Amino acid sequence: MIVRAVHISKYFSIEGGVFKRETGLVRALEDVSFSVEEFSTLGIVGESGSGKTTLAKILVQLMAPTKGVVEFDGSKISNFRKDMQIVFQNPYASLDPKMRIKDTLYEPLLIHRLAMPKQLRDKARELLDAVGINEDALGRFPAEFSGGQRQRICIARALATQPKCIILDEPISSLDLTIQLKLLDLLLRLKERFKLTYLFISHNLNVIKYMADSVLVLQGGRIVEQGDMRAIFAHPSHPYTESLLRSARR
Amino acid sequence: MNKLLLVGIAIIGFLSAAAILAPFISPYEPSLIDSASLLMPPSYAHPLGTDGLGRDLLSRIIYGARISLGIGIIAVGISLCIGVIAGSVAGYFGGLADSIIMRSADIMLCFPTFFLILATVAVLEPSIINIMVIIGLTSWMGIARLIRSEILSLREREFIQAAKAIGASHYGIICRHLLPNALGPVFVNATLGIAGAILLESALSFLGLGVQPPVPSWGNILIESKATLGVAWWITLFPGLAIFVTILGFNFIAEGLRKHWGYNA
Repeated sequence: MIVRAVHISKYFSIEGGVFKRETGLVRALEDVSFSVEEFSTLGIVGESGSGKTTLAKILVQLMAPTKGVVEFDGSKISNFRKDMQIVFQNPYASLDPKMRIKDTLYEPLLIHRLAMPKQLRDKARELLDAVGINEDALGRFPAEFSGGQRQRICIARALATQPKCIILDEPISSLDLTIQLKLLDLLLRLKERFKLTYLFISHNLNVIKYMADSVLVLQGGRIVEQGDMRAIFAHPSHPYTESLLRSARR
Repeated sequence: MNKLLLVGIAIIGFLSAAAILAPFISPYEPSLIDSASLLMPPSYAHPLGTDGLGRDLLSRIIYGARISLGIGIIAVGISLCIGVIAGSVAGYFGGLADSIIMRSADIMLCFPTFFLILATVAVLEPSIINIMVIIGLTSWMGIARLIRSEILSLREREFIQAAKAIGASHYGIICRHLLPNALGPVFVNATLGIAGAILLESALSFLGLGVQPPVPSWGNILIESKATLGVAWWITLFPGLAIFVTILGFNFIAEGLRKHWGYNA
C-alpha cells in the first residue's frame, strides 16, 4: 500500500440569499475508501459529476475532505508535495501562459532543491527528452504548443519532483484520438522507467482497461464497484458498471 | 505596436526627456526675474513669452514638467505598491483578510478624495513630497479592486493548482504566477492614473495648496496667469497645453496598451 483513502466524504454547501444561509448540500463524495499498491495503476472511472476530480484534488491535498483522511506509507511518501504529483485534464489551462517552458520546469526543481543552478538546464532537457519533446521548447511559451505537446510538458513538470505517485485526472480526454494512444503508451513507458504508481481517472472504460490493474467505479460520489480490472470486466456486479461497459464496447 | 501606443510613447518620451534634460535645454533660469521684459508675448528671445515677473515661460514649463511628471509617476507608483499588495492579499487569501481590505477600500472610496487631499494638505504643509504621498495614499483602491478581481478569476485556474501541487509557496504563487498574469490591465489603469494625478496636482496648485512658488509646476503657473489673463493669453495657454498634451499622451499609451494586449476593460 502506498496511498490509502479512508472513508472520505466531501460536501459542498450551497449558500443562498443575503445572509449566506446554507440552502442545500451537494454530496460530491460519500464514504470513499480504497488503497493503492505501490507500482500499480488504480483506474477510477465514472461519468462527469461522479466526483472523480474532487477525489483527485483531495488526494493531492488541493482540497480538504469534509470527513475522512488520506493516508500515506511514510516510508515511501515522506515529502508529500514532492512524492505525489497531479496531471490535470485541460492542458490548455494547466501551464502558466506567461512563463517559458524552462521556467515552468525549473520551478519544481528549485522548490525541492533537486538541481544546482548550473544543472537546471540539463535537468529540464532530460525531462523534456523523457516525454518526447524537443529541447528547443525550453525558451518557448505554452501558446506555441499543441494540446498533446502541452500535456507532455505537464507530465514533464510532474516528473520533475521525482514523484512516487502521479494522479492523472483525465489526462487524454481533451486530446485528439490519434494522440491519445501515443500519450497512453508514453505514460506506460514512464511508469516502468521511473517506477511510478498511477491513479488514472477517466470516464472511458477502454482507456482504464488499457492502463489499470485494478479499478474503482464511482457513481454520484459513491463507490459502486471496486476490484481487479479483469474480474470486473468479465463479471460486472453493478448495473451501472454494466452500462459503462456497454457504452465502452460500442 | 499600434499607432496609438507609438504616438503616446513619443509624446511622453519627448516630455520626459525635456524634464530630465531641463538644466541643459531651458533657455533661462526658471526663476530668473527680468524687470526689463515683463509680460512679453512670444518672440525669438522668449519663444513662449514671459510672465508678470519677466520670467521665461518656456523655461518654467520645462522645469514644471519635472514637478508635474514626477508627482504623477511617483504618486501612481505609491498607489500601485499599495493597490497591488492589498489586492493580491485580498484576492488570494479571501476570507477575513479580503473583507477587511476591501471594506477599507470601500470606506476610502466614500470620501470625496479631492476634499480629503485638500484638507490633508491644508493641515500638513503642501510640499512636493507630501502631495505625492497623499495622492498615492488616496488612489490605490481602484488598482486593488482590479488586481483582486483578476486574481479571483485566475486563482481557480489549473496552472495555479499545478503550482500548488509542486509545492510552490503562497508568495511564489502570487509573485511568479498570479501577478504576471494579472498586471496587464493594472498597467493600463495606472497609466490613466498618472494622468489623473497630474490633473489633481494642477487643481491643487491652482487652489494654492499644491506646489508652492517659486518652484514652477504647471498648475501654479496657471494660477499666476489668472491676474494677467486679459493682457497675456500665452501664460494661460501654454501650461494648459502642456497639461493637455501630457494627459493625452498617457491616455494614448493606456488605450494603445489595452489594444496591444487585447483587453476589453
